Parts: sequence; C-alpha cells; structure tokens
Amino acid sequence: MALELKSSDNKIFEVEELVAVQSETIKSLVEDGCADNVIPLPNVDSKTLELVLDWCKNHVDMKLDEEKLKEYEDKFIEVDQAVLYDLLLAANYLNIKDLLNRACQKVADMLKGKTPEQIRETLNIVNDFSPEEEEEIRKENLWAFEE
Amino acid sequence: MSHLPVEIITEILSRLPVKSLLRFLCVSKSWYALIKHPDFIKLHLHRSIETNRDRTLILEKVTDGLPHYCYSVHFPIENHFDKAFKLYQPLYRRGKLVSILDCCHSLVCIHHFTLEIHHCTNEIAIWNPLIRKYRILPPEPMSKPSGFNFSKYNEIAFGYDLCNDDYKVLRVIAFYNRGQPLKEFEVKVYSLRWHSWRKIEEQWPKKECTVSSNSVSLNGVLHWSIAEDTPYDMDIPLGVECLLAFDLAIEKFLVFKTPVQREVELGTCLEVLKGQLCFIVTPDLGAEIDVWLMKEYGEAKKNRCEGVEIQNLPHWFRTATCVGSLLLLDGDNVIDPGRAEEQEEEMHYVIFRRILFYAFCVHEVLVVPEWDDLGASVHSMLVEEFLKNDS
Repeated sequence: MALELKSSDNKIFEVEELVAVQSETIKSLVEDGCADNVIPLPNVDSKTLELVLDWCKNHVDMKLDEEKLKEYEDKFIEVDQAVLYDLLLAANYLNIKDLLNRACQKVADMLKGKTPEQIRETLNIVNDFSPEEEEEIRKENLWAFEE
Repeated sequence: MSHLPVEIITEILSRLPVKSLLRFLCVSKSWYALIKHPDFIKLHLHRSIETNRDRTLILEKVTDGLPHYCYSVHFPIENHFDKAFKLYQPLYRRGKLVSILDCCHSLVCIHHFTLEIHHCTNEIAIWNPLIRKYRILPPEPMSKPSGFNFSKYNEIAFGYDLCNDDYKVLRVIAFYNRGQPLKEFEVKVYSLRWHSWRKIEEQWPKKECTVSSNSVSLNGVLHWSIAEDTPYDMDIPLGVECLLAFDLAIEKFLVFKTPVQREVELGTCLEVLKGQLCFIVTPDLGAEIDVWLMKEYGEAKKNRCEGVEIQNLPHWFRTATCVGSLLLLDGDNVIDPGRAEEQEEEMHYVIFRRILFYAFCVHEVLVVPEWDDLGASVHSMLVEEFLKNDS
C-alpha cells in the first residue's frame, strides 16, 4: 500500500506504507484512518523529506543486516550542520526514534569539547547571565574548564 | 541555525559527558535550570546506562598489597582509552591509606584502609569523582553488648536501594571473646538521602561464618560469599561457600547456595557481568580460572541457583588474573590490561560503570545540607602535596 506525503514546498512523495510508518506520527494517522488522502507535512521541506525517507527505506530493507545498517547510518549522518539540524527537527516532528537518537548523538559529539561561547554561537543562544553571575557559575566547577 | 526546541536540546544534552555539562551550566539561565533539574539528571543516567557510552574506569593502584593512588581513565567507547589522570581522594591524609569499597552508578564508596580491623570507626565517604564532590559519613559509635571484650568489622558494603532511590552503606560489627566461638553482631545502615545511620533489628544470619569475598551490589541487593570460620581463627574462612544477600529495601538477609560448590581456598571474587552475579573462582595460583554466571535468581530459587560456566575465556583473562586484577565490564567488553596506561604495576580495578551526575545534584534538591566541596584553592594545594608524595 502506498501513501502520499506532501512536503512544505508542495512536492509529493509516494511511499510504501511499511516505510512511512517508521514515523510514529504517520503511523498514528494511518491507524486513525486519516491517511487516505495526501498527508501534508508543513514542517519538512522536500530536501529533508527525501533524506528522511531514504533513512526509513533503508531501515526496512536492511533490517536483518545489523552491520550493513550501521555502515549506512554512519555514512548517512555525515552531513553539514544545517542539514543535520533540519534532520533533527524533521525526526522530532515525524517521531522517528532511531533517526532522532542518531542525530542527537551526532550533535552531542560535536558539542562535547566546545566552550560555552562556542555553544552559544553554534546554537544561536543569548547569554542572559550578567558577567558576575557567569563568573560565579564557572568558579563552581573551575576544573571542568581547565583540563 | 534557528532555535532548537527544548525537547531536542534535552535529548542532545542527555548524551553529553558530565564534564561538558558542568561547563555548559553557564551558557544561559535556561540551560542552567535544565541541567540541574532532577528529571534531567534521571534522564542522563538512564541514557548513559542505555547507550553504554562515556564510562570511566577508576583504578586503584596497589603496591605491596596496600592501596595507594587512584586514577581515572575515561573511555568514551569500547577499547578506546583516554589518558589516565591521578585523582585526589577526599579522605586522603598523610599516613592514612584510602581504599575503594565499591561503586554504584557513579558514586564510589571509600574508606580508610587499615590492617587493624579492630578499628571500627574508620572514616567512610561517598564520592563522585566525576564532579569532584564527596560526603563523609557521620561517625557512628558501636554499642558493645556486655560480656564481650573485642570487636571487629565483620563487613562494610555499599549499594543502591532501587525502591527508595537511595544509596546505602551497611556496617556489620562482630563482638567476640578470644578463643570462644560465641559472637554477637551489630548491624547498622547508613542512608545517603537522610545522611544518618540507623540500627536495624535484622541479625547477621550465619554467626559461624565469615565473609570470604568482596561485596557486590546488584538490583538493590548486596551480596557476599561466606564460609564457615575455621575453629581456631575467626578471620580465615573454610569449607564450602554460600551466598549471603542483604536486600537494601526490605533490610533483610537471605542465604543462597552458590553454583560453585567447592571449598574456599583462595576465595571467590564477586562481580556483576551482564546484569548477573558473576563468581570468579581461582582455585589455585596459576591454575585455570573458573567464571560462573548466576542465571536464575529470586525468591523462588532461594535455596538453589544455576550457574553457567563461561567457556572459552580469552587468553588475557588469565594474564589479568595473574597480575592480581581482573576486569569484567557489562556486556562483552573485557579490558586487555596491556592497553591500560600503567601496565607494569599491579592494579586493582573497580568497575565504574556509569557516568553519573545525578546523585549529587538530586541530593541538593532534597534539601540535604551541602556536600563538602573540594574548593578550588584547597583542592589545588592538597593536590600538589599529594603529587609530591609520588616520588
């Protein structure tokens, strides 16, 4: 059985139900009987959706071959930051657990050794601590910055 | 990069090692609140256990049979080890040795090591080496019953009580008169959550027995191998071993048969492998080591248990045991001592399985008085002194 998914930029993707239900969000729609028409996905653009569907398809195809799947996953996640964040948001919205886990782990690995300033820059976070407050907090665990 | 929703940030942060999280506390007010939140702390622990990543080994260097320094070796993924760092132990004082009793999640229980087991009031501390904070247990006197002249530690053990989400230390003191078999026991339990000791009515069940192994905590239950005392010396166990368990939640002792029905000679080492109790039996120096996994456990099997002998031990098991240390980690990981930093020296490995940030932060939230902090200036001064003694 095939389902039709529509990306935010109005591109239609025809997908096997088995592949599409890797997404818990789509799975619930199917189970509730709301998947007869085209399913709109306003939060995912076509570029990202194509990647996501590739992930889902490979997870169905390579289900029994753990090694091959791992190889695929490792290669898949080697994307630049912008794409990685789009994948993160899509995996979250579509509720695809394994993609979300993998993407989160990848981001975590990237952030691991960074300084707080670098974190703020990468993730576009405003520092709402005063310089004195920040100094206080740093002092609590100074050794974490030093080694 | 547009803002990521908070649930994704939480997922990402839950996969970071403790040291990174401590650095990121100052990123923003919402990050500070998130990282310190007890729910996040639980999630982080759960994630760490689930993914088996970012573990740290705490190595206790043993020279001439005595414990000396502690090192930590971080290993983010299997078989990939970072540099070893020397750790400052909270109970360190000139002239006193500190020994690791056991560890649970990422709390390590340490105490002053002394060959004089009659000193029952040694300092004990619970320590989280990854965030460098510790708490010394309040001193607890013992109540010697009349008619007995001597006392000694029968056992101290450390474990995690699943039901009450609490870390506990068990202390059992034996009272005796020289040359006489009659003994009395005092059993007390310390709770980290309440930071206090409590005497419990439960009695040490096998009064004629002595502990013949280390203690191990599994599923909220402490375990030891015990065997009968030799008639002439209480400190040397003899005879067939059985397994003694203390349930931390219901605070009761249970006795089991072990899968290894043999007389204790060099004793049994207890470990937890793949979530099961593991017996490492060294019948004789240089002989083959037997490793048994206790597959079935529970009330129903109270008086019997099935052991599964692990076949085909990789050759480095034997090498590891010969230098006095054996490493078993959860899952199939076995560390080749040849890969660890200090391979020439004899090492006693304590398995430090999880990175835990939580226990410490959770207790702050539970309105328990502040843990003692290794304050920056004090720390660096003592560390220098500590390192100077290394020559």
